[in-house]
Amino acid sequence: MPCAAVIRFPGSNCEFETARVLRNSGIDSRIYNWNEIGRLSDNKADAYVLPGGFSFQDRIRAGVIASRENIMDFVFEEAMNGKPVLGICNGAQVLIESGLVPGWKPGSVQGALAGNLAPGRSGYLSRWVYLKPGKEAVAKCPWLSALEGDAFPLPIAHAEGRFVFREEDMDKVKSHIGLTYCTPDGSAADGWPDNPNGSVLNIAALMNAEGNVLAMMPHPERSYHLWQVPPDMQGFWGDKRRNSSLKDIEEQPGPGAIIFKGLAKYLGVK
Amino acid sequence: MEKVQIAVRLITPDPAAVTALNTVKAMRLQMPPLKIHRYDLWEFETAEGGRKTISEVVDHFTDIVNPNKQTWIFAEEGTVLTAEDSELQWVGIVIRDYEDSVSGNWTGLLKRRGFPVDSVRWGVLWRLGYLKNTDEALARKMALDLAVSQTRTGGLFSNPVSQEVSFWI
Amino acid sequence: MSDRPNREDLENEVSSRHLAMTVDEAEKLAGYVDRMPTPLEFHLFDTMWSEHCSYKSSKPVLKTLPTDSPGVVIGPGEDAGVVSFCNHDGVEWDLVVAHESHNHPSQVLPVEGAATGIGGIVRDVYCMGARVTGSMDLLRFGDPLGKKGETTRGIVRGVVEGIWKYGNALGVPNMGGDTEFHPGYDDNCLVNVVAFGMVPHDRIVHSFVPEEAHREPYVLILTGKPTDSTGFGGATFASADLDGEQGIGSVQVADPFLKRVLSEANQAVLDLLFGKDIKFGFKDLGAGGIACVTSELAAHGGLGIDVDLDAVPVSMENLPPEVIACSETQERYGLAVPAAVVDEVLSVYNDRFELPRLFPNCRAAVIGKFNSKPVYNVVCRGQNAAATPINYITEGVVYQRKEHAVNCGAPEPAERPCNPRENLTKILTSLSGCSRNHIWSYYDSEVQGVTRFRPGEADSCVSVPVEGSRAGLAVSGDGNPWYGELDPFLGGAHSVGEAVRNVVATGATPICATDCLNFGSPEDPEAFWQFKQAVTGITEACNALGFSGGDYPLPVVSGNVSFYNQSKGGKSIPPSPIVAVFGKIHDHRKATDIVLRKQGNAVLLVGTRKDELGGSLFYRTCLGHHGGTVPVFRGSLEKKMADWVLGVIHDGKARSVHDISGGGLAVAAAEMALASRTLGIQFSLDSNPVTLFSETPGYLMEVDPDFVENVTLPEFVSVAGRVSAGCSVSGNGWEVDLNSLRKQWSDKLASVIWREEGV
Repeated sequence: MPCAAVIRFPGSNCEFETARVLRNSGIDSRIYNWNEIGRLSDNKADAYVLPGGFSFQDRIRAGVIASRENIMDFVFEEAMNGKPVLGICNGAQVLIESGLVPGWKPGSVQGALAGNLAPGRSGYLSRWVYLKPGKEAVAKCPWLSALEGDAFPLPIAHAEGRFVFREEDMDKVKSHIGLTYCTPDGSAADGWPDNPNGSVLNIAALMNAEGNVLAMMPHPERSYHLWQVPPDMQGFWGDKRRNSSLKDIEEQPGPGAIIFKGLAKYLGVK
Repeated sequence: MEKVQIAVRLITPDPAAVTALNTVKAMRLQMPPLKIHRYDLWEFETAEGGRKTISEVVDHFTDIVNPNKQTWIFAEEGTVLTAEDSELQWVGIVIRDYEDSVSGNWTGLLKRRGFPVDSVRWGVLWRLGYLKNTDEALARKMALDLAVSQTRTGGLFSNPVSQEVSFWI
Repeated sequence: MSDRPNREDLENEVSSRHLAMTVDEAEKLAGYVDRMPTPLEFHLFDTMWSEHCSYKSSKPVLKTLPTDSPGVVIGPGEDAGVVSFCNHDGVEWDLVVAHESHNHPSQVLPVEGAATGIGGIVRDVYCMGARVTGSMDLLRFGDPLGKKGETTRGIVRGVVEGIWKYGNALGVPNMGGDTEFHPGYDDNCLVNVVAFGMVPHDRIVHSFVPEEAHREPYVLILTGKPTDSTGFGGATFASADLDGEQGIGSVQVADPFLKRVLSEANQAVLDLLFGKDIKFGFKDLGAGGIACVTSELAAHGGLGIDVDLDAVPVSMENLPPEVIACSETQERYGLAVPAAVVDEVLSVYNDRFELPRLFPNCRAAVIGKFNSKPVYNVVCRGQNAAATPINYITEGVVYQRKEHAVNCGAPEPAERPCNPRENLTKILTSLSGCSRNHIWSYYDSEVQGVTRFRPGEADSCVSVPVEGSRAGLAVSGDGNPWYGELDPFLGGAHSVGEAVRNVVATGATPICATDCLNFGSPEDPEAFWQFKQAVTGITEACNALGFSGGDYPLPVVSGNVSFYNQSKGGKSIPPSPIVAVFGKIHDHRKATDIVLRKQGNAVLLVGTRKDELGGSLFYRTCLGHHGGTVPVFRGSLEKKMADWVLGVIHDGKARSVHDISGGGLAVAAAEMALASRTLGIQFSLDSNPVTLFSETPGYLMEVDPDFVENVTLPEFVSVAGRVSAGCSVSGNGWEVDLNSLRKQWSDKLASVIWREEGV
């Protein structure tokens, strides 16, 4: 059975559910503490996940201190070797501060996840949003490989989730888009609230050029089961959720399961 | 139109500053700062009233300064921010987002409430205390290196893609 | 020869140390130690004898609350209550619940007050050995548009910020809670916090040194943040009235990031100890800091202890012994373990989880030794800082307070003009009637990945906390200040009633309750009468609403009393008993939400409407009147309604369910329609204020059309209308289009409080 390593930093708080949904997807998973680079490099893994949370309480800015932990040296190396690496929420912030995404010059900071921009509010926002994959995402990115191109919902929960790039890089970024925020019927988000944080180009997830590293702000591990979809959700998934039988609501996958299914397929899980 | 800046700090030790110093120590720099202080730095453009207007704003909104946990002063040239200033060679760096909700929302709120304020810009002032006899130009150069995260291992306090850095006089 | 101090000297000590204890109490203390007490002893007893820790005024009254029921594992007395929850895969899982207030600190420092409120309550659940699976905040603020509106708006923003900055970082899902605005809270907001978690029955941890310590050497390990001077005097602050700037130094600094790491390290230590079958004691540091945790762990285990304050990791130099011993620095725990495992335990904290690297001088250290001499001995820098017979420390004090009935009788409005469309519009766009979604949008309700219903989707939040099990846990907290004001007895009773209904409406059977009783000064006979009335109301309601069969009540397993909630002028807040009810649904797949499902379905009204609109949203927002006739509490009817609703849900026949409370039937219907976005309810009832807006307890339930044909409805259930196309509520000759109100309904709070529009 393939194995994924979930890397816990001081202040991570989504490590258990992330490890759980990986297991449920047919991938063995183990949680490693920030100071277990030795144990991790002895065992290695087939994929790496940096879970959500508040590493170092987002002090200075989200993700920056964790990106300097020496366990990230190892993750960096593995990413360069082409191993699938996923950062969810705070994990995404760590990846962008590590220079793994967009990764034009790996290790160099070329993007930012800045504070949410929203009318009349600042700080944290948790809500469900609709997403769809970028043009090259399904083909390139193991984590997104099981998507079919339709809009699907996931929850977001963050205070610093606005992707920002330098003006001169804006064209280059387009081929790195993993997911974008959209309306329930799949058209591009036109500002708040469908784009919940002011991300440029409506970007919700960003990958490196090879596609093996993905930094995503939404939380697929919180929407693994159909019963986790809110009952008042609009669109296809809302209808599916409201009209499901007792059997289906338990057994049918939620939209977040597609992300882990993609990885499982990539790693050869039947 | 007049620009007024205030610096706000916690009266208890600031955990973010403690963590910052811890992180800087781990970077194994040749000459790390010995102390780090953190302040919220608010810059206001007032249509009238200058400092008087801003004193009123501060009195009205505990979100900006809650006197039960914070102290504040007008932070302009020549301001001495802490009593221990003379012990070290201090360099102040200001980090601001190119665009942020806090600034925009406070600008809107103060205008709606009728304060003669044209704009609010929020930022963070990090003050790094180097050894007393450090050459000032060198201290400023070292602070600037630390201020900008160009790579995963170099720099710390700002992300150059979304934030701007300036020296605080 | 005794060198007992004279009264005058004691009086000086009490006033110069800013103690809350009376001079009589100081004399009692001097008698116990038979000399002038040390500064540490003064502060320790000041905390132990504070209202917050000793329940000295409330204890005799609280005895009436029912606590006995077959599922109760641990009733009131320890840090949290415990009830049995489910059996899965051979493991007995228990639910751990705790409920507290953090009112006074939040008024002065809203962000830190609300944050440390969550911090304190989750520690109470953690230290029973549980993983915390949820928290909830029950908030009462002044009028954001009233005389003190500006202060109030700042407090609301700060409290919400404190809750998200701290709670979200902890990784504990926030299950919402309620928010009310009432000018009676202008000078004294209420921030009540609930936390709950799950623990395997055989892994419950107790907060006293175990029996084994009588036979082998046990030591006390202090772990967590290094001690500083923050929060010195905190417990007495929580019990003193809010007079200007008195409490400033007493508010704690929260550190959720350390707390999170510490919680995981604690779990690893507990795993280690259980794995070796070692008995131990575990307790969080809250009020009274090191002094309370060391003395209580020892005293409740029947032992004495020697504490060495020089061994305490500190972050400030030269702190006096009483400050090291009594400060309330956050994020610390005390652990009583055999000396033989000390090295292993310290290594988990200090090496594996690297506490010292995460915060300077943060670490676990041995600071005391238990012994059989019944003395509480503290040394600091070679000096004796305390030497007290230990049983006195936990003995407590009790006062019989005077009570005096308040005449609450108030007139009903002379006229009750009713225009359903205008009235409903006004209620839904008022601060009292609008959506709380903006507040909840700052909360992380989904971390841990087991949330079934988030705040606002159903009458209570539901999670599925035991991996692999279908058992769902529902929780709701309620309390209506307008009822409390008009009739504190009914205020208490309906707090239980509404929380029960909210849990029942999702299909969960209530299994236990917690309460937080917020009142004015117990020394004020009227406030004390209100307190007693409310407790009587809770007692009566809990006795009527037991779901464990037989005559068993709904047990109140944990709670807190918060007195001295009053303005500078001494005016008490509205009597505010706030109750949380926890329920269990065997199969969470059957849980019901408030979202209307299908056009043409029948809408049932459970609970006949009565003319009792006192304190109602309709009176307050539409008539500017409070009225006088609060809904009667009909215990046996409430129970019958709940049983019937649960039956229909468990049979899988209920499509959506919403309880009727604030705003009555019309508002309940509007909320169901708003949640569905595309459907509404067309009522076939008379359009009068009693039918539409009376807050007589009840439920609205959506069922398939043929349900009504096949089932004989009990006398308290009637067909009220049907689900209609389009998001609206309508009746005889009127219709309210809700989509056109949606923006105002959902944005009102943000507009007034966060953006200060039109203030």
